[in-house]
Amino acid sequence: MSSVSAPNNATESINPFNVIARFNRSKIKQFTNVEIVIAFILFVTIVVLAVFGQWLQTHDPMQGDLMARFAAVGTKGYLLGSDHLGRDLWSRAVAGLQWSMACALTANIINLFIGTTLGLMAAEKEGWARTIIRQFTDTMQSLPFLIVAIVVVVIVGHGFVPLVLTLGLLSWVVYMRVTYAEASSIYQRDYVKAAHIAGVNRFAIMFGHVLPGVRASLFVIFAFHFAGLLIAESALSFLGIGAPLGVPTWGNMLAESRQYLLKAPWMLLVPAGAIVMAVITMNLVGDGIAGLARKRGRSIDV
Amino acid sequence: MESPASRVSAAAVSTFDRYSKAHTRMTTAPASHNVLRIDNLALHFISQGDVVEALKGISLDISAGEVVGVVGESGSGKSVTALNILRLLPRSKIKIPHGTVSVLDRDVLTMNENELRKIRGGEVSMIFQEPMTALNPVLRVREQMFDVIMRHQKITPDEAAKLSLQLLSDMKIQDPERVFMAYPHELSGGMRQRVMIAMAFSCQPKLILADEPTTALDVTVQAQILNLLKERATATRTAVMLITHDLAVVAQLCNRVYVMYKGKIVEHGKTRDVIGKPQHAYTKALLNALPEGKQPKSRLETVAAVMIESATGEKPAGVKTLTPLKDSGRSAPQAKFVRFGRGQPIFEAVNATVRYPKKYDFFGRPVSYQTAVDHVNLSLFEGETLSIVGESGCGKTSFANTVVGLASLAEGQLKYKGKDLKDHDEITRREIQIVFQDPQSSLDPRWPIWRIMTEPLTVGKKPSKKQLRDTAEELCEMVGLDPHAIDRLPHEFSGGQRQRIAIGRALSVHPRLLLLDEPTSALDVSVQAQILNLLLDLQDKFDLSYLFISHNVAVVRHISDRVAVMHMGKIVESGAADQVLSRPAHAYTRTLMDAVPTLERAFAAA
Amino acid sequence: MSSVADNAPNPPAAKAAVSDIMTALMPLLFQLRKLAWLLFTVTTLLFFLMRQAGDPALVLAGNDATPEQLAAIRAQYGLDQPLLVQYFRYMLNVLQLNFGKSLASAEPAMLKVLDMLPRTLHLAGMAILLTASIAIPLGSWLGFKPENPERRAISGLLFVMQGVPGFVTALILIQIFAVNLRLLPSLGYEPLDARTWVLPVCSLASFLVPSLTRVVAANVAEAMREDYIRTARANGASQTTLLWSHAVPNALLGAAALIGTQFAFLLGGSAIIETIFSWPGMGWLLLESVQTLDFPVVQALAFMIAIMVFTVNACTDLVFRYLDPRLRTKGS
Repeated sequence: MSSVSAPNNATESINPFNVIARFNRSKIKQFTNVEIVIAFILFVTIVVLAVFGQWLQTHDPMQGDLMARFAAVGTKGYLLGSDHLGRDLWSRAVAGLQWSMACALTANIINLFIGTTLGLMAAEKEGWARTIIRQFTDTMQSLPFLIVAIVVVVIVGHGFVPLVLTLGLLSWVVYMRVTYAEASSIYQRDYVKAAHIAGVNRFAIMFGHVLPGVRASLFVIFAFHFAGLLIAESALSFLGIGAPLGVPTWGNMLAESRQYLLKAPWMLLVPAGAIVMAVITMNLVGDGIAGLARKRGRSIDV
Repeated sequence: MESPASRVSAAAVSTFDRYSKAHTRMTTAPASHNVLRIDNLALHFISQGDVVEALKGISLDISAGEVVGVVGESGSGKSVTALNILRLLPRSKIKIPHGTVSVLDRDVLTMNENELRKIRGGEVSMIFQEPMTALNPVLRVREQMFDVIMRHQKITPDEAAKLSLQLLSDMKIQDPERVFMAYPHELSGGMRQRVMIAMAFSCQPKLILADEPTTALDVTVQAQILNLLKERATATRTAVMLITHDLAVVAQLCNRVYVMYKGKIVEHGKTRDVIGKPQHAYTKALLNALPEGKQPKSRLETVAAVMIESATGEKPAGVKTLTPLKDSGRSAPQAKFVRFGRGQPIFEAVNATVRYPKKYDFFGRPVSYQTAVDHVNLSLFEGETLSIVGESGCGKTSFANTVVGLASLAEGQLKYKGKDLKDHDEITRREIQIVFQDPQSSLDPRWPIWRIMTEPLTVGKKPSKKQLRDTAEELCEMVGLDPHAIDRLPHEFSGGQRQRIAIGRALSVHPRLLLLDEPTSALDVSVQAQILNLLLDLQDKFDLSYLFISHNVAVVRHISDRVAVMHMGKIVESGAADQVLSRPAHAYTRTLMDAVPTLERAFAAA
Repeated sequence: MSSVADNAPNPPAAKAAVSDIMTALMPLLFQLRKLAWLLFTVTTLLFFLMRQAGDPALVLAGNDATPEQLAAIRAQYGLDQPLLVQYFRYMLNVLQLNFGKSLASAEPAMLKVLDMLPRTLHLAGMAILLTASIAIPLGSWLGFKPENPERRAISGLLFVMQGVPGFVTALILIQIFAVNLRLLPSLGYEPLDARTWVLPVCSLASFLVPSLTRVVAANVAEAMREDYIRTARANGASQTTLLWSHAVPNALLGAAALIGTQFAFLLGGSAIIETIFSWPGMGWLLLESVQTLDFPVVQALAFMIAIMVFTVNACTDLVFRYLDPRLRTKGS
């Protein structure tokens, strides 16, 4: 409460700490600009590969050429080498990217929807809805996610739909918690009280004031959670319980590489590099959005 | 029976004496009598090509044992001045083009960190504004006091403990042992500020920089703290630089005063002279903006207007000044307008009681309650202003919340136009609108202000965007904002302008009763004057009734027809403003009135 | 606090004392209620899911069993009863911690799980210790002056490390240290041979260190901007004092929560690492028994893991309360 006045009004407030805060802000801007450029390039690459992957693959990712087994990285025709069945690793990596992205994106949207809805419902007012939702979320959080996911996938079966549903229905907790915390604080603001007093209906308040206030954080989580889901998906595939065996996914490729560590280390490095690149990209995007939101948040003094 | 406390303090006195003697020996030798001397100091904040001139060549000196005030509004550079004395501003982000700062005849601007650390807390110490955040929440008072004492004095922990307890009991703390072992969150704001002061005095400094030490506290606590500060300073012959926005506080405490405005010292001298016969236009304007001592309901002069006029000879642009409404009778100071009950009360509270659950049982059912508002009876008549005065925690905000339907009554009734508030339909209930204290939190930062101001109009109807924007323009005119600014976001406005926007929003639904919850307490004095003028104009124009909630007695006296004093959930006294505030009957009202620092009393005492 | 004199027949005071005890026990009761609810959910969920997965009788009898043999087994294990009846009988057994015998080895399932428990605790404990002892000093150092060039370079490195999943690190470490350099074993667990611990523990820590470091650094940086730091500076505190006595204790409050979460994650989430390194812990057992549809073991495992995760979270909560004086209850 020490500085209530607007920092950009020249006649008021040369509060030293305001000035310093403004200075720090410019630092962040400088930093995030570089970050955002890198993130943007990587992100566009990934999107292009995911959308136009079909036309960028040089070989059929499923079809091996037994004459060309264990081709090293850079071999003519095999950009990233080939595996123990002579399948082109570049094509398989691209196909794996498509699979992983589709999987993580769908699951993430399901998570976002469930988590945000529950978070908003719980934040709005005290009562049985809040109690039940919070209790439920606590339980979900105490469930060891990976264990349940393993069990469910094993039971429900391999394949895209079971995998997506498992990830989608089990990992929304982070969305609920953030939405709940931020929405609760917005519901305490005077402008929401003023709207309430003026008789504005609860959905108009929810979608006019509260959700827009939470939006920036949701974008940030969406990116970070995307990275988390990519890891979870490839981990399950690696254990042989996510994607069906033989389908080109990064997890499957890693699992296959284990027998040939000495002979063909690139079989490990190609999918590993792909996972790392995708995860770092999503983390960078998340950091970039967070930086932008922080900058914007500071300038509007939320 | 001798209490352990007194035993400890008896022992501590000797320790304390020893060190104050050592300290007196040292002070006998200074070459000049100035503990602080600032000469033609300029200070710029630099941020990527952006230079903000925070100080533009100020000169200031403080002699040993003197209490000097530095007065100014936010952004005047007074805190920067203090922080720079101890070089607490990050060095990479400031530039000092010229000037010197010397403490005890040593130039602090050329000192390195090691030399500075000996000065900080040792020779010069500082008291900050926010007692809530200025102490480390995870350390006990003991650790934080030890931290300072052991750093600057070569004594054993036992002696340090004795000294600390002595310092705490010097601050009139009843149970120093408890406070000594407490964590900051276990202490009240006033108690924390006492601890801060005790820490500041712990190493017998020559100078204490007190940056708004009582602004965050209630008036009665403020009075105690200021007295203690003055008392300790006199007893130990410590000089104090008191930074504040409150002229009355300065008048009460300081021998001399410096007035700062936009990084310059515009006037200085003996407090009596500066406040009694101000020379500079700004000082005059500041004094005129104070509601205190003015004719109730008269127009207050606003600083911005005076300063811009005096600098350029033009009327200020930007904020549209409202043309004073003619024939209101108020512009002539002699016509004192106190309006009393015309016919039926528009609003009544009958035995209104609010309780909050305090403890819950296993199944989440409340088992005990705290009474926040205790059988309050009030009535407000059409067109008058009724104020509820009280300190924080007295229940005034809880009461306000029930009036606008944010909380419900445990007992009693609220009546609007003779009918229970609950029985009115939504549209009638909207005739009661509220203006909140914090203009920061009361406007959605993502909405342009036309949308904010017209939000209440969208309830149940779907007016076109054009209609809404037109209405917003009208509302802007009404509250003195530029109608071309309706597409801007709240952060593009200053605190006072945001408060105007909030008032505009309340007016959009043609209210009859405005609930004003501390609408000016987050604002500077000069901005406060503008808002008070606006409120009085609007009341005249639309015949509004105001329920005004505040802790600021001077403001209440200025704006109210009638006053109710609230203490611990109960109304202890009510009546005509003049009568209650000038001839209080209840003991609490008297305590409250005595605690408020006023220029009049300060001069009478001097 | 009211204290009741021994001989004073004072019912209201006695009642007050009882209610005081109730108030003190309340947090514990709340926790137990939560635990009960959690275990109920896990057990129920798994029971029905596992029944969906396959016929236990088929697993017990083997694929080439005759219909008569199957029927006999169904009768023997009560599998011919309606599902709800089976469910209630099952829940009654669970209340006595009896999950039945492992279908694979005929050992009691719970015993099998308890065999694995110390090994998982060993792995998780070492990983979290290593993580904390790297991340806390590193994070404090980074957060103290986050804008220094070399500290920013390290932050960047951590950011990249954060993008490498633990199992990918594990595979790469195996490639380097076991396959290429032949320095360390890539498989197996010897309780007394530290060489077998190195790679699994490092793989886990490599995934946890970046996030904990970043949180500690952010908290320290934030604490350094607080008013009490300004107070301490105004009182002449040195940079070291500012960092270690004022900023870090406050910053660790936030980090404590994350350490708890990470430990809880390790208890259930080290399954992949255990599988990669053939570390015979609970995660490894889980994958084994899930793939062979060994229902009793899966159930016992999930039950045990849920209890452990819950306990860790509850303990974190307690530690948190102890560390943060603002949360510490007064009087007691």
